[in-house]
Amino acid sequence: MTLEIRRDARRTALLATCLLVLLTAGTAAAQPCLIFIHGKQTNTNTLTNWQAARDYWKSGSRDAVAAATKNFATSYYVIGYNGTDTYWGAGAAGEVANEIVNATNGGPDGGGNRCARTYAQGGTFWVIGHSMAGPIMDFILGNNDASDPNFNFNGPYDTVAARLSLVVTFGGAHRGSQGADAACGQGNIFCSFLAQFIQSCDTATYWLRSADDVQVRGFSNAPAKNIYLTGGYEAIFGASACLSGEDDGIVQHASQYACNGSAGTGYNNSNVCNNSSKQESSGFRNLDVGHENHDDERNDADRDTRRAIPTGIWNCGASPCAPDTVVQSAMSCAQLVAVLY
Amino acid sequence: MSTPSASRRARLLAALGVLVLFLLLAFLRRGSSDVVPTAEPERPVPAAAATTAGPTSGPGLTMALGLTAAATRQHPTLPQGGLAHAAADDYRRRARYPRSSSPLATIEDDPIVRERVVNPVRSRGPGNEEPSLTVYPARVGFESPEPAVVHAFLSMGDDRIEASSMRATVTTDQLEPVGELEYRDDGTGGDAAADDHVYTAVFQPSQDATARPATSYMVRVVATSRGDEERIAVTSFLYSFPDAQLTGAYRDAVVDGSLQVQAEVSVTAAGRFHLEATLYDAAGERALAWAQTALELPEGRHWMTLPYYGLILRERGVDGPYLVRHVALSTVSAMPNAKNRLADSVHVTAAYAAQRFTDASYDDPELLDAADRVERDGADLGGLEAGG
Repeated sequence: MTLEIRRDARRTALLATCLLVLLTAGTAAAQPCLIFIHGKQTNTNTLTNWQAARDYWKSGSRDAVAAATKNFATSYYVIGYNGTDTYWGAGAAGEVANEIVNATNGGPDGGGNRCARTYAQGGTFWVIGHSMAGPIMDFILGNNDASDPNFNFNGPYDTVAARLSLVVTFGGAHRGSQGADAACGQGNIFCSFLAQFIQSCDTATYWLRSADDVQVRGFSNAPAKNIYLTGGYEAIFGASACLSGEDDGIVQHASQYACNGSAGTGYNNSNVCNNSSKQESSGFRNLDVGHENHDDERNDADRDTRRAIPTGIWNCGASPCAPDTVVQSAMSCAQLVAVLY
Repeated sequence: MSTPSASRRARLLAALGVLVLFLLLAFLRRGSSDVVPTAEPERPVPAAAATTAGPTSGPGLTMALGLTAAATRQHPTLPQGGLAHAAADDYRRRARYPRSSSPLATIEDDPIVRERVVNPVRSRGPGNEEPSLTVYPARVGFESPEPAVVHAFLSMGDDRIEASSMRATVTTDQLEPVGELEYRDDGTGGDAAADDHVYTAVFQPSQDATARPATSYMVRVVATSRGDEERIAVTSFLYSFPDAQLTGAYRDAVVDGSLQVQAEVSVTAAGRFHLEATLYDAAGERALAWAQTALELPEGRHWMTLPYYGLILRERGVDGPYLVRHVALSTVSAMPNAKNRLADSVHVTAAYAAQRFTDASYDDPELLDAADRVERDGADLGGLEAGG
């Protein structure tokens, strides 16, 4: 072998090494596609008109999708479903499951947005869900196996569970909402009257109450992939007086944080259930809580204080931050997502 | 020795190599984070959104938050790798057992029991005024032909008080009214004790009312105190007409290093059925494991097999015999599922030694794949230093 050939060989080896490093770096820098799922609706707009589903995440110039995707640097997909159906219905869980699979196959949402990489191409997918999206995802991910009670009940739950990396919920109604209770006649006239402005007592609302027999945990098992929980503690004047403990004006902490025990337990930011006391024995994990109300959580309108909660995500030094510690002074739920990947 | 032309060729090659590397780098970065063309035009970055630019932006993130590195040193941070590492660890841990079987750390973890705990609903007047009205069903769910029993009481603080009237309207989950109830406190008609101020009403649903195997019923209670204060509270319960029953026959065996408990069911109408049960030590004091199975079954008698994964029992280190503590059968052909009443402490297994069970991890391939994928995403994600 001549010196020149040896030099060429060294150059080739160097180039190959560089390529390998770059390939590795490129893979490492991969980002998940964010799939957005809205909350309960009083009509079927978000199912029939994709723009309504997209607008759900906006408030004026603020846009939770933009904030969570780092101004669209990360690919995304917005799901619209029948928000008047029960969380387990074909128009809700069924539609959501089918759309998630479409997203992971690289199909477009109603606005033409696609995930940058398909599942087959090695893509990863996070669901970002608000309010009723909580029990919908609990139902899908808790019925993904042939041994589960409602396996693939009205959609490809097994494929969804296999392809999702994780779920983040904002103000998820995992244990139902005392706002829904009020809409369906619970409490005093003041609460019922107020609740009518928020939602009517339709079938979806009925199944979003905090009563034991309608809980999603009674019809599903632990979620196949982790569901990370964040929410709000900013009261809505009047409405919050009808809810137990801390709340976001519609959903009480016991539900936003998928707590075991009574869905009406009054928690605050310091004592809300930790990761060992969830509605299922595994699969639910605390993130934090923001000074946002139920609306703010979904539209990035209020970039406000965030606080630590028990077994949450924030560290103070080498240890988890003490519950109720202020961890951010101006960050919305959507912005929180952007710093998690 | 190299010639001048060879040297020139080498320099050219090196320059070309660098160019290719730059192009490749640009291509890879684009492919890894850019979005495909969307129907929605991008807008300018909102100021605050920029403050949450990804952790990969390095020091710029800290500056964008208006804080210097020194200033943020003591501030709250997110863990190294964002959610990715934590999720990956979780998935690898859970991959050790199959979806159909999981360990129970404590009795409080027993999912069959905790889903059936009745949580009373309490309602006060405007401004949180007393008295309060508490309402609850005797059980979360009832099974035909038993009647549904519901309770209610008024209280001032911890003291129950007499009501001048206690009535309720019952509706289905389709919000169709199906009955009116008059609560009583006379020790009859389902009421356990007279004059204890716990009022009771009984409702007997008919399957014809909904033509479904199970229905959720909402009970809206209106109570009036002796002082004419009205309180309203709502509770609900599930009423089931299941298509299968446990016959009471059980058997067990160790198969492939795992414990299999079989329960016989009698099916009266073909459908899909779900069976789950929790396994305790022989004394019923330590919860060990949970298992489930589901099958489409025709009419007739059938065995359903609960697979307790061997590694769970081996790790717990508790020798048999084991007590099959709580058994729940459901007809799951439709939603809501029709749930049978729980069967308790129904079977004691043979005295298997814990060491007889497998020590092999199940290695759930889907969870392991998910762990690899999510960790790969978070590979270059440092601990975010944020604050403010």
